[in-house]
Amino acid sequence: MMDALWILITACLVAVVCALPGSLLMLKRQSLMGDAIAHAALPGVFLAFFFSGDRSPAYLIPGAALSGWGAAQLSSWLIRKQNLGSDAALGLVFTFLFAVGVILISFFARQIDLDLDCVLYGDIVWIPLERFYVDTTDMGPLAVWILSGTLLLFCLMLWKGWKGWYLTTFDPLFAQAIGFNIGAWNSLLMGMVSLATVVCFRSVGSVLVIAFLSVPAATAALYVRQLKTQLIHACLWGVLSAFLGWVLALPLNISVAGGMACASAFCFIGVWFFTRKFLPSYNRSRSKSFG
Amino acid sequence: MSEFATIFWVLAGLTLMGMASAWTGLLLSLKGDVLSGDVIAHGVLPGIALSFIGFESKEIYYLMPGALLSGWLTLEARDWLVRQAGIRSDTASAMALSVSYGLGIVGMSYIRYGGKGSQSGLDRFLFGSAATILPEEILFSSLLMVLILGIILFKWKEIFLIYFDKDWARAVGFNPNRADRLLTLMTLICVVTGIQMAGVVLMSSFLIAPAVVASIFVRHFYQRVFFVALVSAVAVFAGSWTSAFFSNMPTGPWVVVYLSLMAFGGMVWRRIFRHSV
Repeated sequence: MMDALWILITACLVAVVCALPGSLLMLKRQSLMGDAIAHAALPGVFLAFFFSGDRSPAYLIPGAALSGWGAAQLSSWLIRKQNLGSDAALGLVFTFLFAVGVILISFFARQIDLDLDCVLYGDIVWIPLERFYVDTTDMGPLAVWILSGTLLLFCLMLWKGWKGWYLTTFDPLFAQAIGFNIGAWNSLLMGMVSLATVVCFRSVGSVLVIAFLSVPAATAALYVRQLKTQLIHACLWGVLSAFLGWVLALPLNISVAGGMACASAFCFIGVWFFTRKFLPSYNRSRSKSFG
Repeated sequence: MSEFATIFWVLAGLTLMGMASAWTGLLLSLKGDVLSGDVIAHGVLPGIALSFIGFESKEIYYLMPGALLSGWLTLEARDWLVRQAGIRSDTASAMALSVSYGLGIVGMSYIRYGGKGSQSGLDRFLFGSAATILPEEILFSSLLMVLILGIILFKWKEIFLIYFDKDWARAVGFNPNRADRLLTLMTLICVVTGIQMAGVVLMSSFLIAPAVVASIFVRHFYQRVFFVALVSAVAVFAGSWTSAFFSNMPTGPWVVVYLSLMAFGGMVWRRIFRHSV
């Protein structure tokens, strides 16, 4: 029973960690970045493992996050300097890095013992097994600690740089005019997204990360009009989807991550139906900057 | 089958698949919707799981219709999100592909835990392996390529008009939705055939990269039609050669690496020599 509770806590943390950068990504029309980063992190995972010879997250998370962040920078260079469409640039970069990762892993498959499934595409069921020890005291699952740390970092970043996030998201031209460095803010956001993606897919698998980055943010954007409310409501919908998926999946004996992705879709459809039926004026007066 | 015959069949199948997806990708890039291939590739999973639960067979003829149907439904779901719910297309793509893949994972876990047998054979359909290709699959993909080439040749004027100037096409009496439906069908068939050889993730590259390379080097659409096929064939040959040279190397990733290197190399070349095509 305790294990099931740990799974729920982890999933809720994942939902919140993803919903914060996910909302910003959605507003900047870059939602597919999570998908791209989750795949582009593969060579980073391999290199971290190859040079450290250790499977501990202390090496894998920085390696994977750096490689994902590099992919984001490369694709934004392609968009700015090569006049490539943003979707074509993303598609080009993440398939290339994923292919390089697969080649590296199969090239060194005999020397090293790196299983794709267990390193890159984690399974939420195994969360309670990997413990965090201080000296020899058991402090609970490691993933919960890592996710809480990431969440704290994100809250700090959002709180300290609130004006910057606000301006660069909604009116980048104005922000640039009054002296904000758009490129730096954008790469900071990409760093946030790749950290979120990497930290989360180690514990829940890449599919749930992409779902939690996009679906709760879009659910909140159906009726919300303010950035602060958008962030809070996206987190709430994420947590609710995680809870519903957990409740659905455990008795039915199906994949918990898949169940949560489906539950987030149910939430979206429910909210869409509700706003359409009971708040039609909201849909008519939709401003262009949201959703 | 002798080793030479195996290599020949793999090469033939990959070349045909590469050319078909290069042409489809060229049309998709005109339409400005290149990631629909990625959406479909993730969207086939629930269809495969459901077909397996329904028919209890791993034969490709049973899995294919389910895969096509669920890929199409995922794409429709994305378009519904864009049109009806007012979601922007990138968010809508991410939502459709992740939820559909999640549904597929639920189905797969039901197969695994629900005593429906192993899902191990189904992985082949998703993660692709060019080396285990069968002659009848090559026949199928060559039919597909002839079909796509035929569509491009005979619907030339329509495609050209609609994707270069939609309003004018509508004004002179063409129906743009028909071309969209045709292109969706081509993408579906192409992706579902292709992921068996290249895998879910790498399939996008077969669609996107040749069109990007062509846009760097040649200007006219009819030149690009030949150029993307050439690029794709060169990458497939180079990739197959590399994977035959080093043993235990997967073919699909090498083809993708060569395709991407051509694209990146072309960009660097263009930047150095200031060519603008």
